[in-house]
Amino acid sequence: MRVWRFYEYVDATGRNALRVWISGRPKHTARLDILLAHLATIPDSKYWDTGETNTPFKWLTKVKAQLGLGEIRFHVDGLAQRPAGCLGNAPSTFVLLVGCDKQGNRYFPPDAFGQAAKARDEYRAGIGTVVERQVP
Amino acid sequence: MSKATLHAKLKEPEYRHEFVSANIDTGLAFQIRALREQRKWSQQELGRRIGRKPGQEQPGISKLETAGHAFSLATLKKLAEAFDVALVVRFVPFSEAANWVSNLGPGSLEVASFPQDRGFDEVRQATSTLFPTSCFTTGHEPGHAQVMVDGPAYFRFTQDKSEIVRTRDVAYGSRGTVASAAPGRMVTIG
Repeated sequence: MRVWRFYEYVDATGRNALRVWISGRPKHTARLDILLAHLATIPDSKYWDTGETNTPFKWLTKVKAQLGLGEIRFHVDGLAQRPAGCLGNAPSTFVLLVGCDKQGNRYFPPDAFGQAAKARDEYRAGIGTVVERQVP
Repeated sequence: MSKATLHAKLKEPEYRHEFVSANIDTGLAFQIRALREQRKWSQQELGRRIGRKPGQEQPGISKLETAGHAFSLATLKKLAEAFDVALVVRFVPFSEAANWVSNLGPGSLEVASFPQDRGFDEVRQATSTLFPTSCFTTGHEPGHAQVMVDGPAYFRFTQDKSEIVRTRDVAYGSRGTVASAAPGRMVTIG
């Protein structure tokens, strides 16, 4: 029995940024599915971040506006992928807010984490809705 | 995710092949960490047990516990030996891989080492001659004793600390009362 449930944020206009990012990308989908299935085996989310350089999940702590956001980290064809989200309002839930590619120090979309912070604030304010992301 | 939904995703070749690849390198990384933590070993301790060079023990294990790391069979065999668990490498239908992922849950990545492997409990009971013919205890302070065994066995301490019984009627692994031991090993139970 899984402890965690994952959701995708849908903003007030009906846009699901995670879905937009991942649609038509079966490799990204597979990697994310497997990683979420494994993160869901760890009851306490503070242990998702191993503290290692290449941790599969990292809580963002350097920028004040990004506190509370966490990025899921994996590679597809050698390129870093950084979908990000935040803890949900209900216990043991995590809400995926945006998808993001990373090449070197550049992110695509460039303001992905600004979008994530905005989406997090909207979600916490009760704006928009969420849909469950099914994990294998 | 329902089986039908996962099946629909697996119909896409790119998805299913990446599913397998991710399940290997992500799954192994998570399982190595789970097995190490189950045994309460540091990364350095595990590195030492698989023969990493001095100074490379911790960084080496850190890499192995990183999702996406490419594993060699030689390293996996060393890890299996260190954890004292079996390693199965074989080709399977996608349905089997999908079931494995679908059944993941808290604790599901942990694996008992051979002495704690409950799959052999009945054999251990049936072949009583394999159980130790002699046991030695030292230390009779309340709640503490040491045992030297000469065969694989599980022990339960009774009220009299000098008395040791073989049993499978207790839930071994519960702290303080039960321990398992490999031949020739001194174990402390307290």
